[in-house]
Amino acid sequence: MKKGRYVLKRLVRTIPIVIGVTLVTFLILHLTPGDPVRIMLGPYATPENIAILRAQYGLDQPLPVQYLTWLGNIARGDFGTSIRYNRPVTELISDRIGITVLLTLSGLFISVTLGSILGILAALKQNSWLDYLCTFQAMFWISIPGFWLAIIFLYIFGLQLRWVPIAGLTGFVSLILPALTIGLQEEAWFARPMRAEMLGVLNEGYIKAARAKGVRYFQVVVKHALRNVMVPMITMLALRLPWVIAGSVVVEVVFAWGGMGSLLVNSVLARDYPVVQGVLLIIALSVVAANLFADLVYSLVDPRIRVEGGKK
Amino acid sequence: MKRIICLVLMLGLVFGFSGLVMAQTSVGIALQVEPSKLNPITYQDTETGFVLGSICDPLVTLDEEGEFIADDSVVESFSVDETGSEYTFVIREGITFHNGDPLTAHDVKFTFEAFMDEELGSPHHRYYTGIESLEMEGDYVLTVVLSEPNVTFLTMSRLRNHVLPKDYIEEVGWEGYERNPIGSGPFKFVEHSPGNRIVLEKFDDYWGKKAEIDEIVFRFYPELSTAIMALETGAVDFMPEMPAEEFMDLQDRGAPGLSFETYQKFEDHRICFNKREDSEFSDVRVRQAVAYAIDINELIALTRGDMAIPARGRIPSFHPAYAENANAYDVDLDKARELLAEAGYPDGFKTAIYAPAGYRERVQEAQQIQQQLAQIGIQAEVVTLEWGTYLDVTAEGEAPMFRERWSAGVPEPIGFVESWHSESSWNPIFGTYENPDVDALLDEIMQTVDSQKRWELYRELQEIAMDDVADYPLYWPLIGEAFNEDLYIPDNLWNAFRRPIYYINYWSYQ
Repeated sequence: MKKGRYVLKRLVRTIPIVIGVTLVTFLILHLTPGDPVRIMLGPYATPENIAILRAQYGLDQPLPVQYLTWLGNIARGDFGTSIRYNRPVTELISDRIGITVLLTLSGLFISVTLGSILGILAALKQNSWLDYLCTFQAMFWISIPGFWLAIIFLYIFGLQLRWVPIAGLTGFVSLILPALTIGLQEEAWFARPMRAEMLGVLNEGYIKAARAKGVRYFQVVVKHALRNVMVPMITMLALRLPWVIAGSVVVEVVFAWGGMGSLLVNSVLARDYPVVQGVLLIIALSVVAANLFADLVYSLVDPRIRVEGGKK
Repeated sequence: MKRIICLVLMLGLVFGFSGLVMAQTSVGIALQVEPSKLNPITYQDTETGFVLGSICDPLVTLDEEGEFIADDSVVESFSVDETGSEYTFVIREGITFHNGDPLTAHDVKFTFEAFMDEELGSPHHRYYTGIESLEMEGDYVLTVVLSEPNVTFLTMSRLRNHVLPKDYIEEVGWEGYERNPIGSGPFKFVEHSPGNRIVLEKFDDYWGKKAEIDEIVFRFYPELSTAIMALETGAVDFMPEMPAEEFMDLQDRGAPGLSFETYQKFEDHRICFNKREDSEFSDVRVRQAVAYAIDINELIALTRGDMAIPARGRIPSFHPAYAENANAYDVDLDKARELLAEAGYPDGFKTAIYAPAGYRERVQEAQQIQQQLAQIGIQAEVVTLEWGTYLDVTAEGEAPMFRERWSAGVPEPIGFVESWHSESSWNPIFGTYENPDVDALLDEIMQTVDSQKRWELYRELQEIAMDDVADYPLYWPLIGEAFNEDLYIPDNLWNAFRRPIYYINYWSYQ
């Protein structure tokens, strides 16, 4: 019951955040020069042609009116119609969101798994060559620009070795390189805190006690130590989600996966306002949701953390 | 036991299908931009035209010399009256759309009306405003009557090569058509998987040259280097409009498995000037100085290697209206400085040259021109703007100089020169230009039915405009196409009038 109220409270608090995001994107989009109708009609257009279409899309209205109309429609679940694609925005997004979710989740999966394993190994073998190697590789991947890493991967495994087809999303094999690109780039964000937290926990008295009891080292690490580092890792996961989504925009374009990233890029270039606003709204909502989710999971992982208003 | 049989059958199917794929009856085409909407009336990106070109049949076609012909088109014959204001089309009988409906003159008339409908918002709408009436004679003859003679009508207003099914569109609406476009062309639409691909398959009941390729798969590669790698690995077989630099790289290192062809496009690259009164470039001597200072050969060597021809006038040299006597302003820095001094700028002045950011060679060339102009004292800042912003800024006269590219409709070269007319809606977009002689010549061209005489007028027109430096043409690009070496593409398609991408039904695997 208490938890339900907490969730509700949090949800209510997200409303101003989401409205703020939409307002800022709306302003940035509309204050940037460039007109969707002129882009659509190209240099061929006459001023009359442009005026007619602008009226058709409601772009001749004053900006506050446009924004409030849009907000009102969103409240009713209507994301509007794309200028460039002439399709409902919801349809454009639902056609492509699966690909982006797949890429984001598989990239996150790789980064968390790989980051955790390497972080734990580095902590267990502190100051050994293995520790230094883990640090080095994490710094290596995080220092390379994502689009460049993606092109290099394609060049080596696609063009030279011919292990993967260069034809967009064609099956499981085609998922490996894009997921790996994101995974390796993000891995450092999980490996470093994992190592630091693990080192702290391993020096705690209860670990020594467990070891003294005769529990096997592996079990100590998994059962006692790992559970205690979950909270900072979950925080990190929620914090990194927007970055992973941003990274997948670039990776999608290089690997010719038509997900939300390519949709967003094309729509920004075409000043397709309804689509850009719709996509950004979805991304903002997913980030807010991830943070809420992380907060709720804390209490599951660490019984000491209780939701607001719970029993101390 | 049953399960095993099932499994064996399924495996057989799987291998059977992969066997089909191995037999190479499918052709993969790399597009850099995903077509936004498959609407023949309103599309703006050339990529959509590539896809629809295989689905729909054209009204009339061109031979490799640029003469209008009826082959491969929906008309059996067509004629123009002696004044150039009545165009009569006799439609071929027995053509069917992919849904089985017969194609008649009603469909042609419907397509004309769609372009004329201002509400639909075709970027080509302006080419159809001169139509006074569309007159039917039975089900297979249509006469288009223009309010005044216009010899360029067939070039600009032949329905963008797409004759559309009237009944189908009236039934499903435009949005329905964009989801499932049909035409009478050699390939029919199968699916558009958003962000991924568009698939077309051979139309077995096609009335004309039936395709030998069974399937076309258009794949989208927003990143150019990925597209090139896809071509090299055989994930796709053809990439229309490959940039010159990538083409030369593939050709120079003899990329295995690829064939190479080049042809001259109906396109020119130029510098436009804002010639409004408050601009330094309103003075013809300043424009001439710029022309004398720019070394075109240096620009071409920088960005296109040997994939371009230095321009002289605007109409490409393979066209009979090419003006070989127009002033091309060979590099002469002394003369340039002299002209600047005469115009009142002995020490030059500060200005800016604009280029759209997404177009690598235009930006590089703008930077090169910046250096060349510095030699005569003109300090030009290079401003790169993203495409949407660039269109706005240049159209509103805020860019003193800008690096333009222009593709004209074939075969009548009017597209290159019509913006020089003081009443053209393009005139202000390209910085305004007014010369009564030019206006008179353009008016005369529109009414001169005899083509030889018309080419003469075009030449005279270009000579005048080049003396004025209305714009400064830089070069005509050659387009290089790298494609799967097993693919046979007939020679007569490699030209600006026909182009391979619009005739995939003539392609085959060797």
